[in-house]
Amino acid sequence: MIDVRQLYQRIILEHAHHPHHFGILDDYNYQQVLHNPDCGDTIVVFAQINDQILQQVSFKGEGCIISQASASMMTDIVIAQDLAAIHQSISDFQQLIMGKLSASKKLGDAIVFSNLQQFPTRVRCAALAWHALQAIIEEAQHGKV
Amino acid sequence: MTNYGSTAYLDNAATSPTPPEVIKALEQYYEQQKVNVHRGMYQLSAQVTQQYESVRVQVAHFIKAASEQEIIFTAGATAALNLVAFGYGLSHLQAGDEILVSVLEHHSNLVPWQQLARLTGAKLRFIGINVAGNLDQAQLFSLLNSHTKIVSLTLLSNVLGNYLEIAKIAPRVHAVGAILVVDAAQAVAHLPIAVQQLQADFLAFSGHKMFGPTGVGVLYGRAALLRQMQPTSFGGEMIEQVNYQGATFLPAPQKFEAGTPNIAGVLGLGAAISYLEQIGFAKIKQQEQLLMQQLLTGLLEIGGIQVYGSQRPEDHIGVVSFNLDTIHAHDVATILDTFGVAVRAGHQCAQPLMRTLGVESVVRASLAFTNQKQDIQRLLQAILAVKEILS
Repeated sequence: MIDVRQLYQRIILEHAHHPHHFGILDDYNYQQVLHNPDCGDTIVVFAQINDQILQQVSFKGEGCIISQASASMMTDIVIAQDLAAIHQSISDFQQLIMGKLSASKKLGDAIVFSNLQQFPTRVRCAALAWHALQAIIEEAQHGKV
Repeated sequence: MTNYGSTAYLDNAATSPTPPEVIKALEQYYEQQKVNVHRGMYQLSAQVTQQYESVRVQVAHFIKAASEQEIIFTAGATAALNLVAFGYGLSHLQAGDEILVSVLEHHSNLVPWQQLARLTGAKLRFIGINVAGNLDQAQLFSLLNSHTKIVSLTLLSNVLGNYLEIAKIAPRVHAVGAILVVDAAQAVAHLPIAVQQLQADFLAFSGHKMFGPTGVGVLYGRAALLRQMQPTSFGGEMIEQVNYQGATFLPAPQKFEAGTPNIAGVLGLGAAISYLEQIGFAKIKQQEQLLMQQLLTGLLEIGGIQVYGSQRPEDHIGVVSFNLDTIHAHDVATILDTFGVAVRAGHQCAQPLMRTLGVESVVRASLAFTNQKQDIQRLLQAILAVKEILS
């Protein structure tokens, strides 16, 4: 039996119950809404990007522990970073949750999601906020498609 | 019977296990009888064609249709409902007409009608429900008017588990000149269907939810309506004669069965019907009620559990949906999974119903008469573990 306590470990529960950067920013120039088709959950990511730097980021939405914790951890990692670095973080996280990356100093608390490869039905939950952020980054770098 | 290993399989509303008789029918076709139907000139082909057509007769008896000519084999209930919407609805509805569905509907009995409304300019309207999930009859009757052309309803809710008294409202539907379409996908595994008693004009169900194989289902349609219905799929098998610029079509039901059908699926469906009839719905109901009594009573004893719909076990046919405190359904289901209990979590293909219930998602446990007391026990124990892990 897979130990589900590895997935629902304390740090994940804490991020989920007291998420960082939760709410709507006072000033934002980018936002992205995304739905998880598996369950109907919605996430909105808000960003203030100037000179290719993510100066502020936040998110709103009600979702499962995995999606909330992941969004919260994401905001800690990407804030004040330049877009190129954020692009790399998103890519690293996607590799991590698919079991293709074992360690990274740059993923902060989100490294605990390396466990997610044992829970493939939850990969979408963890990736939701990151996909929303990716859409924002691409828009900021290349303009709206 | 399908072996789920050490898993307590409680997702029967999504799909049911497969008994040996059905597996044997599939194997026999592929191992010994892999020929096409309706076209061969050799004995084996005639034999399989006869077996295939006798399933049509079997289905007609199973749902008490007037004739096997009213039985169309489809890929499933979804395909069947789409056929009604676009084979019948598209040529019979115009701007200003109305289509009525309930807020309970599975997306397969909702999205086709949304599309039909969009294409024809008809209006789609919804009948609400009471706390137990039963139709708001007063609202239904006030919504019925001379513009109503199609009323499409589920016979059994895949979320709340309640049975709708379709036969009682059918006369009112017909009185305004509308047709009655019934989604029997959930109901067909749990109780006997009698289409004439229901007064259904069309009725749809799938094989895989009633112990049959995936990829096969049935659309029942009253003969008079099938005569007015257009095919939506064209090609071999449904034609009478083809020349360069056009074709004439066979009558129903062949008119609606273009191409090589899911032959093995139909044979498997026949075996599934035989299997259910041999056990009998009285015994099925008895076993299900026992298990549901255990399940619902057990759930209501757990602090923080909210059960949706009726709180009485006898009102739940096979299905009960719930949430635990403010914990997201996905998190509950994942933890249940690690304890070897399989349930469904999410919007259950019924997002409007979720909105009506005021939730984003629910956990759904759905049992079949093939489940054991231990399965229910394991679910209840695993829910207690969820509380402990996430507290």
